[in-house]
Amino acid sequence: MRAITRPTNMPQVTTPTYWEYVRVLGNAVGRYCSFCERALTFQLWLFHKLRGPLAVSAQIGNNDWPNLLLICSECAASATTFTATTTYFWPDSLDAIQNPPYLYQRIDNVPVSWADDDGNATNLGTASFFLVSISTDVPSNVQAAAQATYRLFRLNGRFFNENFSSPGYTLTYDEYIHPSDTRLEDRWDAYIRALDAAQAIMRAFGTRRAGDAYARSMLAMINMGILGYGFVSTWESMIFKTLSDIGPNMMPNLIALMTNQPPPQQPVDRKRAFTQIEQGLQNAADEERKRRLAFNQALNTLIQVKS
Amino acid sequence: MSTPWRVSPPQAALVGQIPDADAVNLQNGNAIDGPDNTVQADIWDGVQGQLRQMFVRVEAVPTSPGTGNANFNARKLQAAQNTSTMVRLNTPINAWGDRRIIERTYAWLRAVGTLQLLLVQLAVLQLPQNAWMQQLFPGPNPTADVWNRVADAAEQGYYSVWVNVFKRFGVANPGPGNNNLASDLVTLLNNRVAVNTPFRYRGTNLQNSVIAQLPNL
Repeated sequence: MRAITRPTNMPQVTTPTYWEYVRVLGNAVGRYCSFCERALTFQLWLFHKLRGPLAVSAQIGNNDWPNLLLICSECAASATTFTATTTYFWPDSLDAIQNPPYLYQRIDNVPVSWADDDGNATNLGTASFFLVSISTDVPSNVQAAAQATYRLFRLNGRFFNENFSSPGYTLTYDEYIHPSDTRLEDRWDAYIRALDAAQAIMRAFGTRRAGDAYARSMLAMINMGILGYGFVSTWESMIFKTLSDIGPNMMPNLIALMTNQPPPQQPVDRKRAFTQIEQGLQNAADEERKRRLAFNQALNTLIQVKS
Repeated sequence: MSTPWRVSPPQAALVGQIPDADAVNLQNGNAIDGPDNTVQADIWDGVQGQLRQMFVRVEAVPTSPGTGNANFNARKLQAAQNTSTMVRLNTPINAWGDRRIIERTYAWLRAVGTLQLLLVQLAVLQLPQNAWMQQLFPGPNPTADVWNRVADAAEQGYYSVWVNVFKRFGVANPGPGNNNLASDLVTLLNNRVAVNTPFRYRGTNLQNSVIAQLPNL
C-alpha cells in the first residue's frame, strides 16, 4: 500500500460537492486507489476513515479533509464490514512510511474455478497471481491493523480463499460471467510490466560507462508507466527484488542514479526501498523534465539571437 | 473501431483550438485536474514563444473519411456523429463522475511526454560510441527496451490519442527519425498482442481503419 502524504493545508474547494472534493484530493495525492493502488481512470470515489465508503450524496465539509481517501469501486464494494471502532491501517499514517506492512509475492499454479449456489465447482485451470500478504517484520499492532484493512478491502480480491499455503480462486457464476473484481488480474498485468521494466533497468545500468543519459531517461520512461498504471508497490517490489537478487550494490547504485546523490553506505532494506524507489523515480522524471526545459529555453534564446 | 474519429488537439476553453505544432510540443506537461472536465497544464504557445498555463481538453471529433465518394463520406460522418452522441464521448454525465474527457487529455499529455523521452533515448542510441550497447546486454536490445516502455504507457488506453500524437508530431516535425513514429507505434502495439494477456490492444483492425492511411505501416 503506497504511503500517502496529504497536504496539511487543504487546497481551496470551489463548491463543497462530492466531485469537487474528489478533484481536489486527486490533485493533492494522485488519482490512485488508496488501498489496491490501481490508477483511477474512469471514476473515483471517496472513502472516509470514520464513516467508510461515502455515497455521492454524502454531506462533506472541510473538517473531513484529514479523513478523506480516494478509493476504487472494487475496494469500495468489498468494504461491507467497515466499523468505526476497528483499528485499521491507513496509507496516510506515519507507519505507512516507517513500517510498511504489506509484502507482495508471486504465486503460480493457483487453481481457478467457478461454483454454483450449491457449491458444485467447475475447474477453469490454473493462474499466477501477485498476492499481498502481511509482513512479520513490523510491530504487532501494525500487523493487526494491516490485517484488518486487508480483510476489509479483500486486497487479494473477493474470490481468493485466503489460504496462502493452499491458494485457490473460486468465482461465483455471476462473477464468472460478469467480472466485477479484476484487481488480481490488473495487478498481475502490472507485475508482468514491472518485471520487464526491472530487467530493462538492469540492462540500462550496463550503459553507464558511456554516461548516465540512457539510464536516466529509461527511469523516467518507467515512471511514466507507473504513473499511468498505478500498483506502484508491485513495481517497487519487482524492481527491488530483481536488483537485490543480482547483488547488494545494485539498489544503492540505483538510488544514487535516481537522486544524484552518492550511493548509500548501508544496505537498502525493504522498508526503506519502497519510499526511496518511488521518490527516486519521481525525482529522475522531474530532473529529466528540468533538463528538457532548460535545453529548449537555451535553444529558443539561441534562435532569437540568430534572428 | 474502424470509425473516422480523430482526436482534436487540446482545446482551450477560452482561446480556441490549439495548433498541432503547439499541441504536440514536447515541453507540454505539468498537468492536474482543472474545472469543468478540463486539465490544467503548461502548453506551448507558439505565438508568444513560451509555455502558458491553460485549461485544456481533448475531444474526439467525428471526421469525414475523405474518400472520393461524397455520399459515402456524408453517411460515415453522420454515423460517427451518431455514435459519438450515443456514448457521450464529449458530453460526460458529471453526476456519474465520468472522467473520460479528462483522462483522454491526460493520455495526450502522457503521450507527448513519452514521445519526448523516446526521442532522447533514440538519439542517445544513434551515437556511434553507443553502438556497443546494442550487442552487449542479454535480452532485448536497448532500442526494443525503449519502445517497450512506450508500449507499456500506450497500453494504458486511449489508443487513438497515442496514434494521433505520434502522427501529428511527425507531420509537425518532419525528418528521417520522425516520419515513421506513428506506424512504428501501431506495429509494435499490434505485435505485442501475441503475448498471452487480455490487456493489450487485441483485435485492432489495421486494414479498415484510419491506421491504414499511416505511411509505411
